[in-house]
Amino acid sequence: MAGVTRFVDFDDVAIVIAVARYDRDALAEAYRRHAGAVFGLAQRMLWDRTVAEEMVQEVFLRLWENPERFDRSKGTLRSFLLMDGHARCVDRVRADARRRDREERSVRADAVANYDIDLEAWDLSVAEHVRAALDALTDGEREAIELAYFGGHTYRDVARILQQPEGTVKSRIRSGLVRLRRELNDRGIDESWIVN
Amino acid sequence: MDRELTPAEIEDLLAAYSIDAVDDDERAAVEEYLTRDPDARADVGDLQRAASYLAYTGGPPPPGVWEQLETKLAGGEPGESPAPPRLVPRARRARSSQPWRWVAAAAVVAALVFAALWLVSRDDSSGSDLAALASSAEHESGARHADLVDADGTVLARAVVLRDGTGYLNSSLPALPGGRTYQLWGLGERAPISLGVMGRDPNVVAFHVAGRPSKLAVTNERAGGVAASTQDPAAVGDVT
Repeated sequence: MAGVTRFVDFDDVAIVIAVARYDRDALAEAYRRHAGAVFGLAQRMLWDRTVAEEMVQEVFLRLWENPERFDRSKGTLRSFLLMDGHARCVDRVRADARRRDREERSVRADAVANYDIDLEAWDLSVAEHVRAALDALTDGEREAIELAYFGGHTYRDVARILQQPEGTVKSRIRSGLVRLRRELNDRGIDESWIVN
Repeated sequence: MDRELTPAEIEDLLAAYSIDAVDDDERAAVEEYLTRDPDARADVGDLQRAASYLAYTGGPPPPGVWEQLETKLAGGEPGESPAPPRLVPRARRARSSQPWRWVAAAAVVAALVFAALWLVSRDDSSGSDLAALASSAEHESGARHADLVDADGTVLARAVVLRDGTGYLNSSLPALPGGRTYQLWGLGERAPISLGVMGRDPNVVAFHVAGRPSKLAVTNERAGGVAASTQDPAAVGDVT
Protein backbone atom coordinates (compact mmCIF):
# COMPACT_ATOMS: atom_id res chain seq x y z
CA MET A 1 0.00 0.00 0.00
CA ALA A 2 2.62 2.49 -1.08
CA GLY A 3 1.72 6.14 -0.80
CA VAL A 4 -0.82 5.68 1.96
CA THR A 5 1.20 7.93 4.24
CA ARG A 6 -0.06 10.91 2.20
CA PHE A 7 -3.46 10.42 3.88
CA VAL A 8 -2.48 9.14 7.30
CA ASP A 9 -3.36 12.41 9.03
CA PHE A 10 -6.57 12.99 7.09
CA ASP A 11 -9.91 12.28 8.70
CA ASP A 12 -12.41 9.90 7.18
CA VAL A 13 -14.53 12.57 5.51
CA ALA A 14 -11.55 13.96 3.64
CA ILE A 15 -10.52 10.42 2.74
CA VAL A 16 -13.90 9.71 1.14
CA ILE A 17 -13.77 12.97 -0.80
CA ALA A 18 -10.38 11.92 -2.15
CA VAL A 19 -11.76 8.47 -2.97
CA ALA A 20 -14.41 10.23 -5.04
CA ARG A 21 -11.53 11.66 -7.07
CA TYR A 22 -10.32 8.14 -7.82
CA ASP A 23 -7.35 8.47 -5.51
CA ARG A 24 -6.21 4.95 -4.77
CA ASP A 25 -4.00 6.05 -1.92
CA ALA A 26 -7.08 7.40 -0.17
CA LEU A 27 -8.87 4.08 -0.64
CA ALA A 28 -5.79 2.29 0.66
CA GLU A 29 -5.87 4.43 3.81
CA ALA A 30 -9.58 3.72 4.32
CA TYR A 31 -8.76 0.04 3.85
CA ARG A 32 -5.89 0.19 6.33
CA ARG A 33 -8.15 1.74 8.95
CA HIS A 34 -11.32 -0.27 8.53
CA ALA A 35 -10.77 -3.46 6.53
CA GLY A 36 -9.88 -5.36 9.69
CA ALA A 37 -13.23 -4.57 11.27
CA VAL A 38 -15.14 -5.49 8.10
CA PHE A 39 -13.13 -8.68 7.80
CA GLY A 40 -13.76 -9.58 11.46
CA LEU A 41 -17.49 -9.15 10.98
CA ALA A 42 -17.51 -11.12 7.73
CA GLN A 43 -15.51 -13.98 9.27
CA ARG A 44 -17.82 -14.15 12.24
CA MET A 45 -20.89 -14.25 10.01
CA LEU A 46 -19.63 -16.42 7.18
CA TRP A 47 -17.15 -18.73 8.91
CA ASP A 48 -15.14 -18.96 5.75
CA ARG A 49 -11.97 -16.99 5.41
CA THR A 50 -11.95 -16.94 1.61
CA VAL A 51 -15.54 -15.78 1.37
CA ALA A 52 -14.91 -13.18 4.09
CA GLU A 53 -11.97 -11.83 2.11
CA GLU A 54 -14.17 -11.58 -0.97
CA MET A 55 -16.68 -9.68 1.12
CA VAL A 56 -14.01 -7.21 2.23
CA GLN A 57 -13.10 -6.62 -1.41
CA GLU A 58 -16.74 -6.13 -2.33
CA VAL A 59 -17.33 -3.57 0.42
CA PHE A 60 -14.30 -1.49 -0.55
CA LEU A 61 -15.05 -1.76 -4.25
CA ARG A 62 -18.51 -0.39 -3.51
CA LEU A 63 -16.94 2.49 -1.62
CA TRP A 64 -14.67 3.11 -4.61
CA GLU A 65 -17.50 3.02 -7.11
CA ASN A 66 -20.15 4.85 -5.08
CA PRO A 67 -18.47 7.00 -2.42
CA GLU A 68 -21.46 9.32 -2.37
CA ARG A 69 -23.39 6.60 -0.54
CA PHE A 70 -21.45 7.57 2.58
CA ASP A 71 -23.34 10.28 4.44
CA ARG A 72 -21.31 11.53 7.35
CA SER A 73 -24.42 12.90 9.03
CA LYS A 74 -25.56 9.31 9.51
CA GLY A 75 -22.44 8.05 11.24
CA THR A 76 -18.78 7.25 10.85
CA LEU A 77 -17.14 5.69 7.84
CA ARG A 78 -16.50 2.54 9.85
CA SER A 79 -20.16 2.28 10.81
CA PHE A 80 -21.12 2.79 7.17
CA LEU A 81 -18.73 0.09 5.95
CA LEU A 82 -19.82 -2.33 8.66
CA MET A 83 -23.50 -1.78 7.85
CA ASP A 84 -22.80 -2.30 4.17
CA GLY A 85 -20.73 -5.40 4.89
CA HIS A 86 -23.37 -6.75 7.24
CA ALA A 87 -26.13 -6.42 4.65
CA ARG A 88 -23.95 -8.20 2.06
CA CYS A 89 -23.12 -10.98 4.52
CA VAL A 90 -26.79 -11.47 5.39
CA ASP A 91 -27.58 -11.86 1.71
CA ARG A 92 -24.79 -14.40 1.38
CA VAL A 93 -25.78 -16.35 4.48
CA ARG A 94 -29.41 -16.59 3.49
CA ALA A 95 -28.52 -17.62 -0.03
CA ASP A 96 -26.18 -20.32 1.14
CA ALA A 97 -28.06 -23.30 2.48
CA ARG A 98 -24.78 -25.04 3.09
CA ARG A 99 -24.03 -22.69 5.93
CA ARG A 100 -25.88 -25.06 8.24
CA ASP A 101 -23.06 -27.52 7.75
CA ARG A 102 -20.29 -25.10 8.36
CA GLU A 103 -17.87 -25.78 11.09
CA GLU A 104 -16.86 -23.19 13.53
CA ARG A 105 -13.29 -22.22 13.06
CA SER A 106 -11.18 -20.06 15.24
CA VAL A 107 -10.66 -16.52 14.11
CA ARG A 108 -7.02 -15.73 14.06
CA ALA A 109 -5.80 -12.22 13.65
CA ASP A 110 -3.07 -11.88 11.09
CA ALA A 111 -0.68 -9.05 11.62
CA VAL A 112 0.30 -7.00 8.62
CA ALA A 113 2.88 -4.30 8.63
CA ASN A 114 0.51 -1.51 7.71
CA TYR A 115 -1.75 -1.99 10.68
CA ASP A 116 0.08 0.18 13.16
CA ILE A 117 0.26 -0.29 16.89
CA ASP A 118 -1.58 2.94 17.70
CA LEU A 119 -4.53 1.96 15.56
CA GLU A 120 -4.58 -1.49 17.10
CA ALA A 121 -4.51 -0.05 20.61
CA TRP A 122 -7.35 2.29 19.71
CA ASP A 123 -9.43 -0.55 18.30
CA LEU A 124 -8.77 -2.73 21.30
CA SER A 125 -9.75 0.04 23.65
CA VAL A 126 -13.07 0.58 21.87
CA ALA A 127 -13.66 -3.16 21.62
CA GLU A 128 -13.12 -3.47 25.36
CA HIS A 129 -15.78 -0.85 26.04
CA VAL A 130 -18.13 -2.59 23.61
CA ARG A 131 -17.65 -5.93 25.37
CA ALA A 132 -18.39 -4.29 28.72
CA ALA A 133 -21.50 -2.67 27.28
CA LEU A 134 -22.66 -5.99 25.88
CA ASP A 135 -22.33 -7.50 29.34
CA ALA A 136 -24.99 -5.07 30.51
CA LEU A 137 -27.56 -6.62 28.18
CA THR A 138 -29.89 -9.29 29.52
CA ASP A 139 -29.20 -12.81 28.32
CA GLY A 140 -32.39 -12.72 26.27
CA GLU A 141 -31.42 -9.48 24.57
CA ARG A 142 -27.87 -10.62 23.83
CA GLU A 143 -29.01 -13.98 22.50
CA ALA A 144 -31.62 -12.48 20.18
CA ILE A 145 -29.28 -9.82 18.85
CA GLU A 146 -26.35 -12.16 18.31
CA LEU A 147 -28.44 -14.74 16.49
CA ALA A 148 -29.95 -12.08 14.25
CA TYR A 149 -26.89 -9.91 13.71
CA PHE A 150 -24.09 -12.44 13.50
CA GLY A 151 -26.16 -15.41 12.42
CA GLY A 152 -27.92 -13.51 9.65
CA HIS A 153 -31.29 -14.83 10.84
CA THR A 154 -34.59 -12.99 10.55
CA TYR A 155 -36.42 -12.29 13.80
CA ARG A 156 -38.83 -15.09 12.83
CA ASP A 157 -35.93 -17.54 12.57
CA VAL A 158 -34.63 -16.33 15.90
CA ALA A 159 -38.05 -16.81 17.49
CA ARG A 160 -38.15 -20.33 16.13
CA ILE A 161 -34.64 -21.14 17.31
CA LEU A 162 -35.24 -19.74 20.78
CA GLN A 163 -38.82 -21.01 20.93
CA GLN A 164 -40.01 -17.55 21.89
CA PRO A 165 -42.91 -15.49 20.50
CA GLU A 166 -41.92 -13.28 17.57
CA GLY A 167 -43.06 -10.19 19.44
CA THR A 168 -40.75 -11.02 22.33
CA VAL A 169 -37.78 -11.35 20.00
CA LYS A 170 -38.53 -8.03 18.30
CA SER A 171 -38.84 -6.33 21.67
CA ARG A 172 -35.58 -7.82 22.91
CA ILE A 173 -33.73 -6.70 19.80
CA ARG A 174 -34.95 -3.15 20.30
CA SER A 175 -34.37 -2.97 24.04
CA GLY A 176 -30.93 -4.55 23.62
CA LEU A 177 -29.81 -2.06 21.00
CA VAL A 178 -31.14 0.87 23.02
CA ARG A 179 -29.38 -0.43 26.13
CA LEU A 180 -26.15 -0.97 24.20
CA ARG A 181 -26.16 2.59 22.95
CA ARG A 182 -26.91 3.97 26.41
CA GLU A 183 -24.16 1.90 28.00
CA LEU A 184 -21.63 3.09 25.44
CA ASN A 185 -22.70 6.68 25.92
CA ASP A 186 -22.28 6.25 29.67
CA ARG A 187 -18.74 5.09 28.99
CA GLY A 188 -18.10 8.22 26.98
CA ILE A 189 -18.16 6.49 23.63
CA ASP A 190 -20.13 8.05 20.86
CA GLU A 191 -19.77 8.42 17.12
CA SER A 192 -17.46 11.39 17.33
CA TRP A 193 -15.17 9.50 19.68
CA ILE A 194 -14.81 6.67 17.21
CA VAL A 195 -14.13 8.81 14.15
CA ASN A 196 -10.61 8.11 13.08
CA MET B 1 -46.97 -11.01 2.72
CA ASP B 2 -50.71 -11.37 2.17
CA ARG B 3 -51.67 -7.86 3.23
CA GLU B 4 -50.17 -4.46 3.76
CA LEU B 5 -48.59 -3.88 7.14
CA THR B 6 -50.11 -1.22 9.35
CA PRO B 7 -47.93 1.69 10.54
CA ALA B 8 -47.90 0.18 14.04
CA GLU B 9 -46.67 -3.14 12.67
CA ILE B 10 -43.95 -1.40 10.70
CA GLU B 11 -42.86 0.61 13.75
CA ASP B 12 -42.58 -2.71 15.53
CA LEU B 13 -40.18 -3.95 12.85
CA LEU B 14 -37.75 -1.03 12.89
CA ALA B 15 -35.27 -2.54 15.33
CA ALA B 16 -35.16 -5.86 13.49
CA TYR B 17 -34.83 -3.96 10.21
CA SER B 18 -31.89 -2.00 11.57
CA ILE B 19 -29.89 -5.23 11.87
CA ASP B 20 -31.16 -6.76 8.61
CA ALA B 21 -33.32 -9.26 10.50
CA VAL B 22 -36.48 -8.91 8.42
CA ASP B 23 -37.49 -10.71 5.25
CA ASP B 24 -37.52 -9.08 1.83
CA ASP B 25 -41.22 -8.12 1.87
CA GLU B 26 -40.93 -6.55 5.29
CA ARG B 27 -37.78 -4.73 4.27
CA ALA B 28 -39.54 -3.23 1.28
CA ALA B 29 -42.47 -2.14 3.45
CA VAL B 30 -40.18 -0.57 6.05
CA GLU B 31 -38.12 1.26 3.44
CA GLU B 32 -41.22 2.69 1.83
CA TYR B 33 -42.44 3.79 5.25
CA LEU B 34 -39.09 5.43 6.03
CA THR B 35 -39.40 7.66 2.99
CA ARG B 36 -42.53 9.15 4.56
CA ASP B 37 -41.66 9.29 8.26
CA PRO B 38 -38.64 11.30 9.42
CA ASP B 39 -39.06 10.18 13.04
CA ALA B 40 -38.84 6.56 11.96
CA ARG B 41 -35.74 7.38 9.88
CA ALA B 42 -34.10 8.95 12.91
CA ASP B 43 -35.04 5.96 15.06
CA VAL B 44 -33.53 3.52 12.56
CA GLY B 45 -30.40 5.67 12.33
CA ASP B 46 -29.94 5.49 16.11
CA LEU B 47 -30.50 1.74 16.16
CA GLN B 48 -28.11 1.16 13.25
CA ARG B 49 -25.41 3.19 14.96
CA ALA B 50 -25.86 1.09 18.08
CA ALA B 51 -25.71 -2.08 16.00
CA SER B 52 -22.51 -1.00 14.29
CA TYR B 53 -20.73 -1.25 17.65
CA LEU B 54 -21.50 -4.96 17.75
CA ALA B 55 -18.92 -5.54 15.08
CA TYR B 56 -16.40 -3.11 16.48
CA THR B 57 -13.62 -5.61 16.89
CA GLY B 58 -10.99 -3.79 14.91
CA GLY B 59 -7.97 -5.87 13.98
CA PRO B 60 -5.61 -5.84 11.05
CA PRO B 61 -6.80 -6.17 7.45
CA PRO B 62 -6.53 -9.63 5.93
CA PRO B 63 -3.13 -10.02 4.22
CA GLY B 64 -3.07 -10.18 0.45
CA VAL B 65 -6.58 -8.88 -0.07
CA TRP B 66 -5.52 -5.32 -0.81
CA GLU B 67 -3.32 -6.55 -3.64
CA GLN B 68 -6.29 -8.39 -5.17
CA LEU B 69 -8.41 -5.29 -4.76
CA GLU B 70 -5.80 -3.13 -6.48
CA THR B 71 -5.79 -5.52 -9.42
CA LYS B 72 -9.54 -5.10 -9.75
CA LEU B 73 -9.24 -1.33 -9.51
CA ALA B 74 -6.71 -1.30 -12.30
CA GLY B 75 -9.24 -2.98 -14.54
CA GLY B 76 -12.24 -0.88 -13.63
CA GLU B 77 -11.05 2.63 -13.03
CA PRO B 78 -12.45 5.28 -15.35
CA GLY B 79 -9.16 7.09 -15.67
CA GLU B 80 -5.68 7.36 -14.31
CA SER B 81 -5.33 9.14 -11.02
CA PRO B 82 -3.97 12.57 -11.81
CA ALA B 83 -0.80 13.60 -10.09
CA PRO B 84 -1.46 16.13 -7.33
CA PRO B 85 -0.45 19.55 -8.64
CA ARG B 86 0.63 22.60 -6.68
CA LEU B 87 -1.59 25.56 -5.99
CA VAL B 88 -0.49 28.85 -7.44
CA PRO B 89 -2.44 32.08 -7.10
CA ARG B 90 -4.64 32.80 -10.05
CA ALA B 91 -5.03 36.17 -11.69
CA ARG B 92 -8.23 37.98 -10.96
CA ARG B 93 -10.72 37.60 -13.75
CA ALA B 94 -12.85 40.30 -15.24
CA ARG B 95 -16.50 40.06 -14.33
CA SER B 96 -18.63 38.21 -16.81
CA SER B 97 -20.22 40.43 -19.40
CA GLN B 98 -23.41 38.39 -19.06
CA PRO B 99 -25.20 39.63 -15.94
CA TRP B 100 -26.54 36.88 -13.70
CA ARG B 101 -30.23 36.49 -13.89
CA TRP B 102 -32.15 34.16 -11.65
CA VAL B 103 -34.78 32.19 -13.41
CA ALA B 104 -38.24 33.13 -12.21
CA ALA B 105 -38.97 31.14 -9.09
CA ALA B 106 -42.02 29.44 -10.50
CA ALA B 107 -40.06 28.08 -13.41
CA VAL B 108 -37.18 27.11 -11.19
CA VAL B 109 -39.10 25.04 -8.70
CA ALA B 110 -40.33 22.54 -11.25
CA ALA B 111 -36.94 21.70 -12.67
CA LEU B 112 -34.67 22.21 -9.72
CA VAL B 113 -32.94 19.22 -8.28
CA PHE B 114 -31.67 19.49 -4.76
CA ALA B 115 -28.36 17.75 -5.18
CA ALA B 116 -26.24 18.55 -2.16
CA LEU B 117 -23.66 15.92 -1.41
CA TRP B 118 -20.68 16.64 0.73
CA LEU B 119 -20.33 20.19 1.78
CA VAL B 120 -17.67 20.38 4.39
CA SER B 121 -16.37 23.59 5.80
CA ARG B 122 -13.05 24.45 7.32
CA ASP B 123 -14.82 24.80 10.63
CA ASP B 124 -14.78 21.02 10.74
CA SER B 125 -11.79 18.99 11.84
CA SER B 126 -11.24 18.09 8.22
CA GLY B 127 -10.68 21.70 7.23
CA SER B 128 -6.94 21.62 6.82
CA ASP B 129 -7.25 18.39 4.86
CA LEU B 130 -9.79 20.02 2.59
CA ALA B 131 -7.57 23.01 2.09
CA ALA B 132 -4.79 20.67 1.03
CA LEU B 133 -7.09 18.82 -1.34
CA ALA B 134 -8.37 22.09 -2.77
CA SER B 135 -4.81 23.22 -3.32
CA SER B 136 -3.82 20.03 -5.04
CA ALA B 137 -6.91 20.17 -7.26
CA GLU B 138 -6.30 23.66 -8.55
CA HIS B 139 -4.17 22.69 -11.52
CA GLU B 140 -5.32 19.18 -12.23
CA SER B 141 -5.66 18.26 -15.84
CA GLY B 142 -9.14 19.07 -17.10
CA ALA B 143 -10.05 21.16 -14.06
CA ARG B 144 -12.40 24.11 -14.63
CA HIS B 145 -12.27 27.25 -12.58
CA ALA B 146 -14.56 30.04 -11.47
CA ASP B 147 -13.95 33.33 -9.76
CA LEU B 148 -17.15 34.31 -7.98
CA VAL B 149 -17.50 38.07 -7.77
CA ASP B 150 -19.96 40.42 -6.09
CA ALA B 151 -21.84 43.27 -7.76
CA ASP B 152 -18.73 45.42 -7.58
CA GLY B 153 -16.56 42.83 -9.26
CA THR B 154 -14.68 41.89 -6.11
CA VAL B 155 -13.68 38.25 -6.03
CA LEU B 156 -15.30 36.68 -2.97
CA ALA B 157 -14.70 33.03 -3.75
CA ARG B 158 -12.69 30.84 -6.08
CA ALA B 159 -13.82 27.42 -7.17
CA VAL B 160 -12.30 24.52 -9.04
CA VAL B 161 -14.40 21.73 -10.56
CA LEU B 162 -12.64 18.52 -11.54
CA ARG B 163 -13.56 16.22 -14.38
CA ASP B 164 -15.26 13.76 -12.05
CA GLY B 165 -17.55 16.48 -10.67
CA THR B 166 -15.69 17.00 -7.41
CA GLY B 167 -15.37 20.67 -6.62
CA TYR B 168 -13.74 22.88 -4.03
CA LEU B 169 -14.62 26.43 -3.21
CA ASN B 170 -12.31 28.72 -1.30
CA SER B 171 -14.35 31.55 0.15
CA SER B 172 -13.62 34.96 1.59
CA LEU B 173 -17.32 35.77 1.90
CA PRO B 174 -18.12 37.88 4.98
CA ALA B 175 -19.67 36.04 7.94
CA LEU B 176 -23.45 36.14 8.09
CA PRO B 177 -25.53 36.72 11.21
CA GLY B 178 -27.04 33.75 13.04
CA GLY B 179 -29.94 32.07 11.30
CA ARG B 180 -28.49 32.68 7.85
CA THR B 181 -26.36 30.52 5.58
CA TYR B 182 -24.63 30.77 2.25
CA GLN B 183 -25.87 28.33 -0.36
CA LEU B 184 -23.96 27.24 -3.44
CA TRP B 185 -25.66 26.78 -6.82
CA GLY B 186 -24.68 25.41 -10.19
CA LEU B 187 -26.27 26.78 -13.33
CA GLY B 188 -26.32 25.12 -16.72
CA GLU B 189 -28.71 25.39 -19.58
CA ARG B 190 -31.67 24.77 -17.32
CA ALA B 191 -32.56 25.74 -13.79
CA PRO B 192 -30.13 26.41 -10.92
CA ILE B 193 -29.19 23.29 -9.02
CA SER B 194 -28.42 23.52 -5.33
CA LEU B 195 -24.98 22.14 -4.54
CA GLY B 196 -25.54 22.50 -0.82
CA VAL B 197 -25.47 24.91 2.07
CA MET B 198 -22.12 26.31 3.18
CA GLY B 199 -22.82 27.64 6.67
CA ARG B 200 -22.70 31.24 7.81
CA ASP B 201 -18.93 31.66 7.78
CA PRO B 202 -17.45 29.28 5.23
CA ASN B 203 -13.84 29.05 4.27
CA VAL B 204 -13.09 25.95 2.20
CA VAL B 205 -15.93 23.68 1.13
CA ALA B 206 -16.03 20.56 -1.02
CA PHE B 207 -18.97 19.75 -3.25
CA HIS B 208 -19.95 17.43 -6.03
CA VAL B 209 -21.82 18.33 -9.16
CA ALA B 210 -23.30 16.22 -11.94
CA GLY B 211 -22.92 17.56 -15.47
CA ARG B 212 -21.05 20.68 -16.47
CA PRO B 213 -22.43 23.85 -14.88
CA SER B 214 -21.55 26.99 -16.81
CA LYS B 215 -21.78 29.21 -13.74
CA LEU B 216 -21.53 28.90 -9.98
CA ALA B 217 -23.30 31.26 -7.63
CA VAL B 218 -23.65 31.80 -3.89
CA THR B 219 -26.76 33.17 -2.25
CA ASN B 220 -27.56 34.31 1.27
CA GLU B 221 -30.43 32.19 2.58
CA ARG B 222 -32.12 31.27 5.83
CA ALA B 223 -30.34 28.56 7.83
CA GLY B 224 -30.97 25.16 6.32
CA GLY B 225 -31.08 26.47 2.78
CA VAL B 226 -33.88 26.61 0.27
CA ALA B 227 -34.99 24.45 -2.64
CA ALA B 228 -35.32 27.45 -4.96
CA SER B 229 -33.79 30.82 -4.36
CA THR B 230 -35.41 34.16 -4.99
CA GLN B 231 -32.35 36.07 -3.80
CA ASP B 232 -29.84 37.94 -5.90
CA PRO B 233 -26.53 36.14 -5.68
CA ALA B 234 -23.92 37.37 -3.23
CA ALA B 235 -21.29 36.21 -5.71
CA VAL B 236 -21.38 34.59 -9.12
CA GLY B 237 -18.86 33.52 -11.73
CA ASP B 238 -18.43 31.66 -15.00
CA VAL B 239 -16.92 28.19 -14.87
CA THR B 240 -14.23 28.09 -17.54
